[in-house]
Amino acid sequence: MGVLVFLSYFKYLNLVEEFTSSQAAAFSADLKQTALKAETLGLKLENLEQFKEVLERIADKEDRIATILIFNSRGKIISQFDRNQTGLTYEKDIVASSIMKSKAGNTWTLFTEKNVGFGRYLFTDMIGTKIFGLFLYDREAFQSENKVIKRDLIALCLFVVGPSVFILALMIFLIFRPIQSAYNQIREETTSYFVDGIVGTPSQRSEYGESMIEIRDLLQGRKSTSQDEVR
Amino acid sequence: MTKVIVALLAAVFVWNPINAMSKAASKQTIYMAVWRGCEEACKSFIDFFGDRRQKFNFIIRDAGRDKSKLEDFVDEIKILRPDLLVTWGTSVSKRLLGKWDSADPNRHITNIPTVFMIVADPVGAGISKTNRWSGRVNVTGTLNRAPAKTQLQTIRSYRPIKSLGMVYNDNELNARLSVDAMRKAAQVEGVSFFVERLKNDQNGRPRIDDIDHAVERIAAKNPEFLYLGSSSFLTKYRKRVTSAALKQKLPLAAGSEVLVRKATALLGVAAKYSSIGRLAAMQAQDILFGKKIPGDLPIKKLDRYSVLINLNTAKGLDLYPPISLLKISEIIR
Amino acid sequence: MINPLEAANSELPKLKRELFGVIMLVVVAATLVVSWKTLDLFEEKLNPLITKKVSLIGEQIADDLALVAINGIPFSRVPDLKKYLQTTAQQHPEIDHVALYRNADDLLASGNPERDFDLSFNISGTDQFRLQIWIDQKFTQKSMENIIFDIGVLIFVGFILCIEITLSLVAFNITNPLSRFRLVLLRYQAGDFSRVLLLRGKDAIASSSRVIAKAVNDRARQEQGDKVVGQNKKFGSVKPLQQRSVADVRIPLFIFVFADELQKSFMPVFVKEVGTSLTFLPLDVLLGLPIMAFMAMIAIFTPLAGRWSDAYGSKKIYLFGLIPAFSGHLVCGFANDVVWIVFGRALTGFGYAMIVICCQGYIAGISESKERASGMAAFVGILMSASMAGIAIGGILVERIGFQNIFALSAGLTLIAGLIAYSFFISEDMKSREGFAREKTSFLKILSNTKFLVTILMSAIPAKIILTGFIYFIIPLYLFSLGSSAAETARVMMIYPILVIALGPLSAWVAGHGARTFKVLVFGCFFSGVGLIIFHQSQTVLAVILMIFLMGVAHAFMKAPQINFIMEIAETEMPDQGRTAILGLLRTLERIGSVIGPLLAGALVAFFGFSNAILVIGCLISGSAVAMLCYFAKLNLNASTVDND
Repeated sequence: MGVLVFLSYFKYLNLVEEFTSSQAAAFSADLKQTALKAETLGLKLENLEQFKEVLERIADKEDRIATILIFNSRGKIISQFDRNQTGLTYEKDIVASSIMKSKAGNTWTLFTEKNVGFGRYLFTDMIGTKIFGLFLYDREAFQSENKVIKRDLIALCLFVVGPSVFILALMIFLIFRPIQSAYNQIREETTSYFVDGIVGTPSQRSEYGESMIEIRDLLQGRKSTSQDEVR
Repeated sequence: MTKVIVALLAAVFVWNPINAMSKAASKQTIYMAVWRGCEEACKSFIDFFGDRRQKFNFIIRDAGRDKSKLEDFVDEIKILRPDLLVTWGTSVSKRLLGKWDSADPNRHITNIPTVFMIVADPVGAGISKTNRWSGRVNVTGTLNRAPAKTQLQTIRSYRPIKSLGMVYNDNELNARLSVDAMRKAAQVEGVSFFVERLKNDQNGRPRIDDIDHAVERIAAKNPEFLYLGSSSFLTKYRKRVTSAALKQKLPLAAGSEVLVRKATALLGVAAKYSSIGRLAAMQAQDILFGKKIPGDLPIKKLDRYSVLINLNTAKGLDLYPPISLLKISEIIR
Repeated sequence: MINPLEAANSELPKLKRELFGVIMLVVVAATLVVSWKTLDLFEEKLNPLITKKVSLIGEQIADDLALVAINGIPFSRVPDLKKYLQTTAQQHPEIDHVALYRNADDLLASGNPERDFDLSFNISGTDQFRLQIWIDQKFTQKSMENIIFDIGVLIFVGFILCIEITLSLVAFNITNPLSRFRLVLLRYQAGDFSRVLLLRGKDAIASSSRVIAKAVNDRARQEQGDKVVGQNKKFGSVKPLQQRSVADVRIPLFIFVFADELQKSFMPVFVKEVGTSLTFLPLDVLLGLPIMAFMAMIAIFTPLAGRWSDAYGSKKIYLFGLIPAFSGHLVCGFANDVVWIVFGRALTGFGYAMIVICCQGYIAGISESKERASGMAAFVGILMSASMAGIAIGGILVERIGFQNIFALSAGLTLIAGLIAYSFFISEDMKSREGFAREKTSFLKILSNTKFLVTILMSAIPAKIILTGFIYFIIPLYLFSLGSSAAETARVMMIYPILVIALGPLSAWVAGHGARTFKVLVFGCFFSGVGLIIFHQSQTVLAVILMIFLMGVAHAFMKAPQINFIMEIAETEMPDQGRTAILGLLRTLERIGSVIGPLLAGALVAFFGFSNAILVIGCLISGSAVAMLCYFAKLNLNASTVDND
């Protein structure tokens, strides 16, 4: 049960990532369009005003986003948005690793200390250079939601496991009852016939009891010291 | 004493320029020969290098539409021996480079790495062997005309036409070539294609008064769209030809901006010069930083072209663009 | 009075059944409840995300449409308005469909009134436009679809784990002590006090055994002074061989195989990411290298491992095999080049071969044939279920904890499996095997035994051919040509292992309860091909499912008898060869079938197309079953020398 819940939680996290990535896809469509329009007008993509506008609009709609980077396959950053104006300290690394990951597929995810990043290939510009976008979401924004789910799942688990264990225990007890009585009898007969040496009457003893007496006799009377196996 | 002073002064006046020159000499030189000033292509070429432009010495020579100046350029280039030569436009490129198979080392530049740009038809002008390979070791360049296939596909994205008509004047080589190119493209796409040739006067030049009638004639064949290829004549008389088309309710597509912007063609598919400049700069980058041989670099063309739509014409024809095209086009009103 | 000992003993089967039933009931019920509620919770949380995205899209559409209006284009004259809205709906699977209204009029098809996104916008003050988007209610469900499948697999596997653990517990605490106690008492009754039985625990049997043992020991000391005769601290003092049970092997083997299978689902991706210095090799080859290395090591070392296991004892070999397995996982975890991955997998393969073979040998060493037969079936079941569990869980975990950590986990689990094996495996009583294992095991001798050879050729190898050729090779391609998706194909292919696992206990029961091994074997073999023959024509997914189903059933019943049959041949024909070695050889030869399978299938499909290829394979299998039957029938007019009862 625990394993199941644990793994389900993981699966949930995966789904959240998937959904957020697909949201990034919607943003990317917007960016792509803006770029195509600008190019048709002959504008240069670097530091394009329209890009800045779009990025700000995106950040407006989705407050979980901390930073957005648009860069080309050579690693040059074409446009960016920084909500807190903190400036990303490890920009170059993020861009470089994004470019590496972009070789494996059109979208990718990366994790930094404070952020979760969803990257995707945006489009190819008129002169053939590939342009990528990276959306860095604030990690904390996700945490609170995830905590709630975690809590709920654990509660659910306990809520179900508790009574189940109880029922199970009960049933097992019932199943083992017949054996229990047999065991008790064994214990009793061993103690009385073997240990205490009571003999009693034939009707009182079971076959087991008989064997106990027999063995006791053998043991006290004579014992085979041979190492041979009798069977 | 005077001798010392003179010596010192000489040193200063000779030393500094030489110093400056040698400093300049440690940078690489790019010589740009342009036809009508350093316009968008030239500017965006330089701009492409961003901060790295400091590494270069840009020498810009403007012919100012005067062919006679080009000879001087050739001489200057031979003296200066720049690391790269950039030529703008057909006239400049032709005069400076000569024909690909018969360039004369005395009159033309044959041993300096060169990138040509804004040449409407390099093959037709003899500057390049094919549209992909220049055919000579020191030359590469860019194509700015959208290929016929792209033109046709853009037209079809406006409307999925099944028939296309073309009007042309047969005295221009590039006009004839563009007809052939479009014919081939139409065949591939399964579009039926017909042409109408402008009647010529006794000197073999197209008659201006036949423009209207030619359009009438082709309208009678009922093409869904009319296409104007590369033709200086029709470009010059754009107002006539585009209003003729409008009169005949024929949507007109062209391979240049000006027919849409400054006349009433409906659809234009063309390259922005600023994009071409960047493209040429990419070639320059390969040559100067990548140490590539120009002749080994294929002639570059754009991945995508600018689309222009004249909305007034659309209204007049009651033929509006689909949203998918509208979104990424420049709208002219 | 009834003998309580016997009473307890006879109660056992019923008890096991009831236990099984109860656990099944409760666990399944609990799991279903949890899963249901979990899916609910997820939906709750995920729906808002969908809504958010849809409203984004809505705004984008509104912008586009505004562009149209601003340019003065009348909507009725826009040529692709409908197509545009449709394409948008199609592009985003969350959306069911989109509609645009001007004022109150319809411009496009409208749907049910429950809208999920509603946006009104004004253009230049003339008309008011409304954009409505309907969210596909089933989208969440659809995206849950693959979790549901994963969770389903997990439930199944967790359930199996429960059963395994329970059965082990029952065996350890009740069945084994009980039977040992009985045996010891029988000895004592015959006067042989040379062994004592010390059981741990507080129950009646355990305490009784201790009381009696103490008495015996005291008496012995009394007799012999300080010379301790027959004092054997080792419990299970009755012949160890007979006290082996499947339970000893269950858990360590499960854990070990599970640990190894974790990486299966993501190995190709891992290889791609790690990169390599061997750039001259094409990508496909590179991706397959680790698996090939693994398989190669197994193929090479399985027969050898068999021999060693016979010579040195299962326990020793198991523990020895842990070392390469463990280090192999670590090497993979720290790999920075594909070369290391290949090396790591090779190491693990080496260990895997040893461990699996010696587990098989351990079970084969259970001399009570009923238990041995069911043990073999269980063995197969353990392998399959551990495999399924490992792959499923590995796939889920890797996205969260990363590649390296998975290998660390594998290494850790391998260690744990080792510890458990160490405490539970019963070592060989080496002395009793003196005259037995020291004899050189000759593979040639084994091979030259015709019965062995025939069985291998006519049932073991064909079975593997059909497995790898049909299931692993043809089915994915065939289904793909019929238009199935990858997920669907995976599900169909899952039917086979699920069946084998699910029917495992049943087949164990059948194998242990007197069904004539040989007959079951032949029948199973024949039957597995029948499905293919019958359904080869119809080109539907259903037909494929039926074929796999029949095959699964047939194989489930065939596997254990196959091994038992070989063992019987081994016992009667080649008593001087090591059991485990023979088994090792069996497995190696089977691998030949595994290799031939895809090649043969590929050739058949290339020349004759799918349907006919399937027919041919089916005939091949069933034909060989018939051939085997004929051979053995001719050989022994009474097949009873070969059968065991």
